Amino acid sequence: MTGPGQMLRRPLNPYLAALVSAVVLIGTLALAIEQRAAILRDGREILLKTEPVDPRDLMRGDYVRLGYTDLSSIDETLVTGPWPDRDTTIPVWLTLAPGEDGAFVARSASFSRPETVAAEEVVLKSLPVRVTVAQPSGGLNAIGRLEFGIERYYVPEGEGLEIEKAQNQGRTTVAVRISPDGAPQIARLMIDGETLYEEPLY
Amino acid sequence: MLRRYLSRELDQWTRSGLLAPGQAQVLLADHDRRYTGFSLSAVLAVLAAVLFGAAVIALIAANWEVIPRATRVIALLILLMAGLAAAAVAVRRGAPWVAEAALVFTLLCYGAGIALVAQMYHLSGDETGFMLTWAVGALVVSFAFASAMAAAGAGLLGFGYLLAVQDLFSGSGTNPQDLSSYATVLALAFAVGVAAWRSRSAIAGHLSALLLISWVMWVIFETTELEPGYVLAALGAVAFGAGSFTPSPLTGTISRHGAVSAYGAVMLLSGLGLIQVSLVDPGLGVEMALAAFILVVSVAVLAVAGGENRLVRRFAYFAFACETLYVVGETLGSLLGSFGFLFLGGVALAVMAFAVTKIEKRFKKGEARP
Repeated sequence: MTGPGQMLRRPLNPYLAALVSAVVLIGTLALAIEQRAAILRDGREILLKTEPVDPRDLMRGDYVRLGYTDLSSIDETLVTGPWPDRDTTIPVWLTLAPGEDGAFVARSASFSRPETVAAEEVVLKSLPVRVTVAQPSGGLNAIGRLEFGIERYYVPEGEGLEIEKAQNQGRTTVAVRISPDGAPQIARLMIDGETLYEEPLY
Repeated sequence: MLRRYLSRELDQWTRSGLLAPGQAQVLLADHDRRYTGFSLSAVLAVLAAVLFGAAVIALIAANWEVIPRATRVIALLILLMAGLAAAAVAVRRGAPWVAEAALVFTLLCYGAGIALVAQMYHLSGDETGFMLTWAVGALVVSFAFASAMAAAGAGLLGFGYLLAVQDLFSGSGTNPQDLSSYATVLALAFAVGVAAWRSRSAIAGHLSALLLISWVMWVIFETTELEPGYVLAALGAVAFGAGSFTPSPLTGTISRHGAVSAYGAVMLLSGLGLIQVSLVDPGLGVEMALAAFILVVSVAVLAVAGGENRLVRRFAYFAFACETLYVVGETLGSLLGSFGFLFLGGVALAVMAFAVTKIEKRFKKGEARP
């Protein structure tokens, strides 16, 4: 066999192999944890109101499913700036501002990161979502249901029911911290403004 | 199994004077040295590792609040390191299957770890990231230890990533984000291929090839209007041609009538089958022409590579039998009723079985000659 081939197949010292693997596996986990902790630590906090995802479908196992009032499904007229040329799957950027009761609502949406943001506003980036674009042959501009990666709240088994009940009555709010690049992280879950669970950093 | 067969045959050869006395022991010893393979204890060790790993995942999934979060993370990291340490010690002591089992356990713990982070921070909906991270972890472990199980695991996780990404982007046309996921799947397929080669794992090699084929089909399906059946058949024809009529400069890399040509044959015949079942209301003439074509192709494949490659041979028989039954069903099915169809189908298969035994005999003769 040729030189480079032989080198690629040469077995590594097993202890070195274990070390390399440990560094990569543990390193990636630590990095993921630190990424989320950094948002919790340094992110800007906003309040979001939740709505039931599907009222008939209570409690799926050990997490509560959260939908966000006014954010999960947005009005297509909020979109500023150009739409994509054709149907695609891309993230949507929302610009949020505090509403009358202090909970944040969507003020505008766009398909690229908004450049100017007022002091009281904050940007939130969604996961890639299906976007349908009107063609000359017909059809309407439409955006699928938005998700932000914060649609689950894991609770100890059995405690989810009360939260879902409160959510159905519109009493559940969530405090979310948002990083400068629009990544959200749940910080506290509240019912009637009272903190039920508060997230430790680690 | 293989060893028993081998030792019986060696005895036979020694008795009939084909092997010098004592030669049989040398050959068996050589076989034992290279073939540490598939013993029951090895299989049980890997299964035990899978169960332990599944237990860890179940514990995480139950969100066991009795243990504080930080403790859970640290416990998981300790399990990870213990698995890797056990694998390293097992490699040193010359117990490769114990090492493989320990690595399987380690990788399951790693998957549990990724899930735990998602649970700790209430993350949702990122299956693609989950699969990709896990697959890359498996690749790193496979490269480091030259581990066959980890390479196969990476292949499976590669399929997981392909499915997740394809589900997310299905039918959305081409855009820059698609390009990066196309590139990622392709890179995974190649990385699994290299890992398979390094760890000498045939299973991982097949997974890598299948991932590559799925990738090609996915890209073609998403970016063009072509019918997948035609594409699959065309790719198969090219691969079969490349594998069975290898030009001499390439004979070092592609073995003649080897794996490439087997994949080509399978893809070609499945592609043609796909075209046939997806025909909409074609009329009897077209259908019969296509059926005749498929029959001719399977015979041609058999004639070209059947003598050298058992997989090609079996698949060609299989395709021929399926096609014959299909033709009988399409032409005479409604005329005959179920009894007649079963009877005629049985006759057709019996004739074919007779033909196959004749063909097999000829191939055997051909193999015996050189």
